[in-house]
Amino acid sequence: MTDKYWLEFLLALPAIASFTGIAICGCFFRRLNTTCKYIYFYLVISFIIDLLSRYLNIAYQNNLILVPVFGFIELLLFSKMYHQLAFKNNRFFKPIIGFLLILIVVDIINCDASNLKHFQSFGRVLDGFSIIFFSLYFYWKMLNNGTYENNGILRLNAGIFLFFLLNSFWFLIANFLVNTPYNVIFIIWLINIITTPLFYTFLTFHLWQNGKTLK
Amino acid sequence: MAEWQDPKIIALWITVAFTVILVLGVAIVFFVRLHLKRMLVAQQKLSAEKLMHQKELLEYSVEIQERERKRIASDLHDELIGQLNVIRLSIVSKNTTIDTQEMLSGSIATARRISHDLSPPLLEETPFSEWIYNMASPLKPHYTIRLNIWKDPSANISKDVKLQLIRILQEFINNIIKHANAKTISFSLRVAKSYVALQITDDGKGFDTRSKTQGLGLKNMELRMQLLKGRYKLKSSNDSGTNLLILVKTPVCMEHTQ
Repeated sequence: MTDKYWLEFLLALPAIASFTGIAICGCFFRRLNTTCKYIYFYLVISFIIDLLSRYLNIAYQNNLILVPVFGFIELLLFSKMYHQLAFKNNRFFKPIIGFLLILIVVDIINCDASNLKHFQSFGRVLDGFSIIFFSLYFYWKMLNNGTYENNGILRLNAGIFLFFLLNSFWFLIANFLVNTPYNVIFIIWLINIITTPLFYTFLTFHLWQNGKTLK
Repeated sequence: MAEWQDPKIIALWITVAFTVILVLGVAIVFFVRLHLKRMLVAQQKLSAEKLMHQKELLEYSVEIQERERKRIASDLHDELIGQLNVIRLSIVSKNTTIDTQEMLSGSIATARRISHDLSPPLLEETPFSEWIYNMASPLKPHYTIRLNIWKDPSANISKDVKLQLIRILQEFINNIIKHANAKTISFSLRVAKSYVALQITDDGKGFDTRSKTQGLGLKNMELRMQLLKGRYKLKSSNDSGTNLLILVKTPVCMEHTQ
């Protein structure tokens, strides 16, 4: 098996993982709670974006515009989810999220996606750090209120926190290392390409755990 | 090209930064989970202790009930039945030396006292301040009594709250008479629209409130405070008197009235 084959296989992993999640969890979608439904939509969006990026890559040899677009949708879904979990009574939450979304839209409009050397994924970094903040706030709220959520939610929050910590790191580094030799970026990209399907599998597991319990 | 621009150096530093971030992230998750688990264990322990305490109070309430029944039985047997037996014998033996009328009046008075003990009369109509005055008056020959009463004219204490407060007051006065060896007793009452505050203080020998061998009286008082959903603070230590502060919120009074 050639390196190209392995590369193709690695590239296909996120799509395979998200599609598997969609297929498995689609069977008990109705049984999922609101939080899990947002996660399911996230898997669906990830899969669609993955397919779309492949199409754009084939058709235009450039799919960079999807990076901030995915960041926008990701932030929208996770902010909805964390609104349910931790920010229900916070009156500042919606205006702040609205402001962040506008910033990402500005990034989408202004980014130079046609030129790889000049492309900066600020929108995606902003999205990643916002989600990290949500998960940390969730922890803080639990510690502050002295409440103990069920293990599933705790595990989900930990997974989201760790994934976006690494993911944001990758996009932050990518912003600064645009002129660095590709073999260096490849290492970070490799980490990202492995953690992404792992994260989708983790989300699928969470959905499955939630859906299998009859309500 | 500077040394730091060497791809190997950059890759090394990226790996280091990546590892540090990952370790930090895992550490945060680990410590939060650990803390939450400890918190859960502490909460469970506290709940278990509360449950245990409630169970203990329930056991005490049964004991208190039995003690009260015994007291009523002995009151009836030793006083009322005794007096009635004397009257019956005097009627049967046609003994004229005994004043039957007077004996009957005495029996009625005893029956009335027992009845009043069981359920204070005119509870609804009599203001609580008057109850305190009535309870404090018999103590005047033996103690220096201080009364401090303030009442909002529009405020009202419901019958049930009044009854529980009277019982607590009786219990506390009994304890002072039995154990405190006090010279002065102070009663302070404040009846506002939203709360009732009652404070009773003595200058007796006091006792250790932390002692686990508390009497039934204190347990009884705690039970009654739970019933009122009120709060109380008992302060006492050896040779420094005892101070009881009771606070009952008015919504509870309203609830009881309804």
